[in-house]
Amino acid sequence: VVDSARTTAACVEALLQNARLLRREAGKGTVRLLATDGSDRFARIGSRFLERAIAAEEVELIDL
Amino acid sequence: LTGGDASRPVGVFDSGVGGLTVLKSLIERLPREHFVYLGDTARLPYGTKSAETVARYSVQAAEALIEYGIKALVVACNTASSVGLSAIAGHVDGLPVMGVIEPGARAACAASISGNIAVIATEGTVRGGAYQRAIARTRARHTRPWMHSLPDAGEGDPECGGTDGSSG
Repeated sequence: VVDSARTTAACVEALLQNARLLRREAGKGTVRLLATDGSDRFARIGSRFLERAIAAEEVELIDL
Repeated sequence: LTGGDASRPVGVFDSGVGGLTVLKSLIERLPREHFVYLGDTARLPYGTKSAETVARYSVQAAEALIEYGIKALVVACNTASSVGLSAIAGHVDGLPVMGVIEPGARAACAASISGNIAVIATEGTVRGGAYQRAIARTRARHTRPWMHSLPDAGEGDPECGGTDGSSG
């Protein structure tokens, strides 16, 4: 079974490298989470996919 | 491009929360990068919608992420990668864009010894034909993709995660 998430991440690294867009600053990057509906549900189900806890308050609701 | 551009975040977009598996891999692989993830949870699933609608939604999501100053866009949704990628590319003015189909197809071609590859995807992804094309490009001969569509999130059995908003 092919894990397309990991292969995609490798391709994104190559893409950023070729465009000279890899971030150079030391220190861990940040993650912002946006959704168009249901931040509670996003946090609850999403934490399984991200494999870390997500607080509903972390999820910003936006309109498209 | 200046160093300022490189410190901007990478945008990641999916119809729901399934794309968070891609975000997780991105964080593991590129821990120093900033990420902005957008899940279009109000309009999922994408997998059952027409190609025109998915393309329109995808462009809107890309434009929303551009407002956050992204330096590149990852389309972590198979359906949007299948039928929305060219529409996005036409609207983002040189922004690097990566979908999930090309990397997935290439990895499958590399992993398959027999040349048989099964692709389980949404209706829209199967219909869009992007996997078939990507597989043909990567390994034109001796490869037979077998395509099968499954009900997308939101229309299946809730016990099977049918309404959990996973990747469309």
